[in-house]
Amino acid sequence: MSAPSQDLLARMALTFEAQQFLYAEARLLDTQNYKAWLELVTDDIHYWAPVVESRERRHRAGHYVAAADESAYFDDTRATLGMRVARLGFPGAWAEVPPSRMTRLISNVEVGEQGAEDIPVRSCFYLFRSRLETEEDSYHGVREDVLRRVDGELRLARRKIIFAQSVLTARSITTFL
Amino acid sequence: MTFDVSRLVDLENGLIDRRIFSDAEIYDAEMDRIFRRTWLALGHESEIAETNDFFTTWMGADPVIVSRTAQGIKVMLNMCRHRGGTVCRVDRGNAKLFLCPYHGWSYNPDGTLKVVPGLEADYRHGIDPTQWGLLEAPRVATYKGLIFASWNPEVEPLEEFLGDARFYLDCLLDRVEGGTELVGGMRRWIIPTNWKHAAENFVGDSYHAAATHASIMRVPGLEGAGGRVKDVVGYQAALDNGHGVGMWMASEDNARGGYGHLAGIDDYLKSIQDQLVAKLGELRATRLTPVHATIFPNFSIEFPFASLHIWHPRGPLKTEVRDLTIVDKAMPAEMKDMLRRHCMLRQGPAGTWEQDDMDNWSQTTYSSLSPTARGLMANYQMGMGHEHTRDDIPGRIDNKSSDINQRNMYARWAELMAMDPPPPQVPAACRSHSGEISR
Ligand code: FES
Ligand SMILES: [Fe+2]
Repeated sequence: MSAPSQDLLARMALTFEAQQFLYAEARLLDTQNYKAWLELVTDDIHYWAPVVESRERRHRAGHYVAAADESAYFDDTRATLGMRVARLGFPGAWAEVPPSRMTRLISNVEVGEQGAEDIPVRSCFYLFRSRLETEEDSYHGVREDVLRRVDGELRLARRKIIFAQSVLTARSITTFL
Repeated sequence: MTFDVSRLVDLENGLIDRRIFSDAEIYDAEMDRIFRRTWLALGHESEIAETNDFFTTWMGADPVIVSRTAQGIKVMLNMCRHRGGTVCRVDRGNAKLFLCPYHGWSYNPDGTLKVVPGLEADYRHGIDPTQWGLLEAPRVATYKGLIFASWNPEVEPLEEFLGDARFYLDCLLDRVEGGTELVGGMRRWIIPTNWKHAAENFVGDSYHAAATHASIMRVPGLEGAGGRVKDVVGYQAALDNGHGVGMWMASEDNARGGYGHLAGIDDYLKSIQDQLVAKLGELRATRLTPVHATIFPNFSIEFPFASLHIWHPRGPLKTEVRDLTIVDKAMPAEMKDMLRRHCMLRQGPAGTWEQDDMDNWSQTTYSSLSPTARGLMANYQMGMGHEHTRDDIPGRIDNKSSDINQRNMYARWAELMAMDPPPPQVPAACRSHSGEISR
C-alpha cells in the first residue's frame, strides 16, 4: 500500500483541527462559558438561523430555508451576540434560572475547499437540554460554517444554522447552537 | 357540561379559577364555543399575493388552507371530504389543485371538488359533487391587509368585531400610503402553556415587564427596545369583544422622537410625518404609541415595529406560535432590514425578551395541574374600581399597570363559554345524524 499523499495528509490535519475547534466550542457552550465562546468568533461574524418551511417537492428537496432578508431565529452580529451573552449573565434571565444542563453532539464534520483565508466547514448537531426536574428540549440540524485563521488560530467567521424542524418543539432557545 | 362558567370566572372580585388553564373539558368547550364562533386572525394578504397562492394554518384546532382564488380569499378545512386525508401537506405555495394522496380525490383552489377517480365506473350511482367540496369557512374578511375568518355564518362584520381596536391597530396598519407587508417566512414553535396565558400577557400585562424582563434593562442596546420610554405615561384600554391595548402617551414637548436606539427610525418617522398626521391625526401621529395588544381570542401584536403573534391552541397545555414580522411597504429597504433584525433579536424562541415570558407562562400553566393550587383562585384584582374613560382615546382606561384588560378579556371568554356553540356548517347530505359536529 502506498503512503498517503501529502494532499490527503494536509486535508486530514485540517479536518482534525476543525473538529477540535468545534468540539472545544461545544464544550464552552455546554458549560455556558459564553464569554470565552465570544473570543472564538470574529468581529465580522454573521451568526444566522433562518426559518425553515415545508414546500412542495419541486422546491429544493421539499423544504425551504428562508433567505437573508426573511425571518430567522438568529440574525446576529458580534455586537448583538455580545448583548445576548451579557443578558444571560444577569440573574433575571429567567429562562436560564436555574441553568439548563446541555449536551451537544457535533458530528459529520466535512471540510470544504480552503480559500485564501476562509475554510468552509459543514457539521451536524444534536443539542439535548434538560432543566428543572423533567423539562427537556432537543434541537438538531446542520451548520454551515466559515472558519478563518486569525493569528494562526481558527475563529468562527460565519455560521448558518439550519434546524431540521419547521415548527420548533423546543419552548425557547436560551443558548447558541 | 360539568363546569359552571360563573364559578370559574368571578370578575366582580377579580378572581379566576386556575382550572381554565389545564382542564381538557374546558379546552374542548373553548374550541367549539370560542374558536368556532368569533373571527380569527390567520395572516396577511401579502402572503398570498398571486392567484392560487396559498398557505396552511389553524383556526383553533382546525387545520385550514388560506387560498387566493379568482373570486377572492377562501379559507377551507384542510381535510379531504372522502375519508379525511390531508389535502395540503406543506406550509405555503401556489397550487392549481389540492390532491388527496389517499384515493386521489382532487379539489380546485377554491375548494370545489374537481375529480373523483372512478366516479362512474366505481361509484356507479354517482355522488353530488356540490356536496363534497372542501368545507369552506363561511366568513372571510380582511382589515387593512390582515386576513380573518370565522366558522360562524352569523358573526358580526369584521369591522364591528374589531370595533375601537381599529383606532389603535391603524397606528400600525395604516400609518403610511401603501400599508404594510410581512417579512418573508415565519417563526413557529411550541410553548408548553395554555393559549390564554399568552393572550392575557399581551392584552394588558404591563406589570410583568419589570420582573420578567429585568435582565433586558441591564443591557445597553436591548433596554430601549420597547419604544419611547422617557417622559411618557402609560395606559391600558379595555375594548369591546375582549380586546385590549397597552400604550405610551408622550408629553406635548416630547412629542417627537425617542426611538434613537433604532438607527434611522426617527428620520423615517419625520419623513412620513405629513402622512401620519393626515391619516391618524395629531395625537396618534405625534404622541400616542400602542405597545402591545390582543385581539381576542388569540391574535397579539407587539408595536410599533412590529411582530404579530397568533397563538394556536394545541391542547390545554400547549400553544403553537406563529410569529410574523410586519413592516410598512413603502419603507426604504435598509429600514425594513433594520426592523427585521430588531424583531429577530427581541421576539421568537431565541428572543431576548420573549424567552423569559414563555418560561413564566409554562410555570403558570403547569401550576394549575396541582389539585391543591386549583382550589385557589388566581388574582386579577389590580386597579379594580379605577376604570375611567377619556375624551382623547377610546376604551375603558386605567394605568399601564392594571388588570383591567385581563378582566375584560375573561369577561368575554366567560360570555362566549356560557353560550351554545354555533351550529355546524356542514352540507345536509353529510351531516352526522345528531346534527352536531362531534369531537
Ligand atoms: S381520503 Fe381523500 S381521497 Fe380518500
Ligand atoms: Fe413580556
